[in-house]
Amino acid sequence: MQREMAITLVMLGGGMMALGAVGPNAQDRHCAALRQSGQAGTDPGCAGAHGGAYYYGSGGHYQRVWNGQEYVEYGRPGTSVVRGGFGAIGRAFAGFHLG
Amino acid sequence: MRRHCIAPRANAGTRLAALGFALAGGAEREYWNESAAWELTRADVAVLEAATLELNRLCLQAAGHAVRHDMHEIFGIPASAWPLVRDSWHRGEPSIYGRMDLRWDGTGAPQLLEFNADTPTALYEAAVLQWDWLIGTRPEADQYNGIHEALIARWRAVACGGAVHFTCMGDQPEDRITVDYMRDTALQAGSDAPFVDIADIGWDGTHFVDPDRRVMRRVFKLYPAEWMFREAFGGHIASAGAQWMEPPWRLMLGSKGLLALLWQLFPGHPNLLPAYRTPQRCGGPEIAKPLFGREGANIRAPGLETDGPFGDQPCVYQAFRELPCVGGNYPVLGSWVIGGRAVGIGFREDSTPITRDTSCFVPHFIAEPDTMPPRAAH
Repeated sequence: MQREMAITLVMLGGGMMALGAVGPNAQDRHCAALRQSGQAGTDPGCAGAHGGAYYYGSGGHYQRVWNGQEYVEYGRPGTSVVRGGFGAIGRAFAGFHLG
Repeated sequence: MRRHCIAPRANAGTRLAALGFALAGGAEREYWNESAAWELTRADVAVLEAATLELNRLCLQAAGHAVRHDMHEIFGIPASAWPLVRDSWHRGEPSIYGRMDLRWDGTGAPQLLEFNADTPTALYEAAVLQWDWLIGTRPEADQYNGIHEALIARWRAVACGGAVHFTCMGDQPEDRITVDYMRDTALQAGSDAPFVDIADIGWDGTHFVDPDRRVMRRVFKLYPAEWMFREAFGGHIASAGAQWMEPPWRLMLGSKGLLALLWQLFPGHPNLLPAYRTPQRCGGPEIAKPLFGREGANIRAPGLETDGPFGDQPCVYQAFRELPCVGGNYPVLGSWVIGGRAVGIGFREDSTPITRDTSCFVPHFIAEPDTMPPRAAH
């Protein structure tokens, strides 16, 4: 449930919204400023401790979302994904048991 | 060790259905055979446990030796895939489980027929179905079966509550039974455990991703490593940053070439049979097994030959010691190794000396009083 909520909120935030309470310290103010300017995903330090999410990788192609236990990573929507590169030999042997 | 012919439970079919055990074409009633049962003594269990641990020790030593000396050819592993296997070994990537198939007649030393170290199945039957049978028929008896608890403990140690993707060919009922049971044990260990059909795994240029674009960091696959290496995404495995279970180094142990290497390193060991990569060196009748054959396919032995799709593979030649025959049944003991521990067994029987995909699973029990602390039921 926690994970789903985090993902939903991130999506609602137009691709980026750090979650969790913001306390009165310099780091939180820094993160709040980044969020305000739409750059929150540029600083991983604004995510982990606050249960947030951020983009990383070349071109920001990946997003890490804290699910309360670990970061779950997602590819950014729109990035090209190829499927079907595994399973061809298995299909040729379909019905044969693995043992 | 003794085989009993017994009356099956009147509600056996209902129990199998209640436990979600269904094979293609309703074959589960033929495959699961509870009209017989094997009785073990605690001394039998001690022998099997010690042999399994010893064999596991030998196998790991052999794998280390092979890596140090770049012996990929003895396993039939192509040179192009060897760096994956070798690096996986050097990283100490964790294994979850494996099943050693043993020949044993209740006397002397159990001997290794092969090690299903990459994609072992018959797991749910051994861990849950035969335990359910025991509770329903002999609640006062015991069973050599700590498989379920060991799997949960292993997932806790390996995934530490982190997510694990599970994959296989989703339309193969036998494979799904094993994978879904594995997922269940991972869930009980606190991990998220989504299923992805192997054909739906995606490649985004850097990582493998599931249909939701979630990056696959830990992946349990019930799909042969030697197939994955040869497929279109095989070239991405090294760079994708995924932790596979079973890891690539297990391919060394899953290859029948392991049998030849074991005999080369530990000749005369009582738990081993003579085995070579070339024929007519065993000093007697031999059985030829394809290096990556499965379920008794394409086996050749004196007076025996099976068909199958692996006939074009090179073979290992192992001394042919016919399985013990009890009432026309030839049993093989599948001994489970989880996290380096020997945790239980399952019997498979065939009407021929070769165990095939049609061989039955037969439950077992220990009639002697339990002197150990009580274990939790599943």
